[in-house]
Amino acid sequence: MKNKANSIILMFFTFFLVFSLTMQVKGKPQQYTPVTIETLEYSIDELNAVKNDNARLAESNREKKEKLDELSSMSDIGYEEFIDSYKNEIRERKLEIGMEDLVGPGVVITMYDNQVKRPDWYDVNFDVIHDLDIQIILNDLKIAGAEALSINDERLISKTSVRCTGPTIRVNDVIMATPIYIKAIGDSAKLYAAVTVPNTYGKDLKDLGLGFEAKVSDEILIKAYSGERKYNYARPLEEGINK
Amino acid sequence: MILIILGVIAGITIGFLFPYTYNPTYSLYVSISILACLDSIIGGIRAIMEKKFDSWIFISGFFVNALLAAFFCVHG
Repeated sequence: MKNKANSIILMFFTFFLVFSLTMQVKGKPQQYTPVTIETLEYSIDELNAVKNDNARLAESNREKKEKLDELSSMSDIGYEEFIDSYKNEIRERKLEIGMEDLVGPGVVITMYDNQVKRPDWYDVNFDVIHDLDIQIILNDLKIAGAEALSINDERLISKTSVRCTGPTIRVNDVIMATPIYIKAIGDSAKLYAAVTVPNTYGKDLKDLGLGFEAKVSDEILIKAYSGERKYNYARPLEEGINK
Repeated sequence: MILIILGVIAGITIGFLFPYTYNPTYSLYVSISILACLDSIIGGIRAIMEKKFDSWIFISGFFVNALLAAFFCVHG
């Protein structure tokens, strides 16, 4: 009889233990990085910087647009043909320097860090997307004849840089993290081949276990460049001056 | 022995059907506590087999083990 009672006690506690264990397993514990005061302060600084950047960029964008509208309205009076050609030229230049939204066939590339858990000795640097990887992919796409490129909807213009900022990258002074979407307009077959055929950098990345997916699309929208355009040192060559 | 197996089966079933889980922040402490409880349970089974089982020692050991384990884990 005593033995029976003991077994019942044990049963209840076993039940409690297994119940907790099951809940624990069901909870799928994830890896959390501790948030220290330092990282918090760093994040606050970063956020403020981004906010300031945004406000400044929006302001300068508005000014530029006003100026452009003014010029467009000025050209409405006068010789029709001249004005039309002038407008066309403006359009062409806008297209060239990334002020127009563009659509066309091309590829969309998605890049993200390796999602699979590696052993502890594995160097984590092999598992994350670096700025250099993106630069090489961009270069490959350009070689394949890409006419317009964007990273996470940040248009690539002549002054664009891809810069490493710790766990994030910075393109056109906009901070972005993985997943990174690279859009390219051009001959879609060529562009697709340039990043997926064996011996290309994209294929190598994929073989290393990093997330790299290229998708051909018939219609891709690449948004216009919205950042600042300022030239402090370069200036157009004026006629009549011999250098 | 059958009762213990019954307890295991009931624990798994109800645990999976139960709609709540732990806050993941505390999962480390909970897992350490579970380990300590497991130690107590296995000790209890052994005591039953040796016919030396004392329910008060078992119950107090169970909780003290679990709480101490979690305490040491929290305070490093």
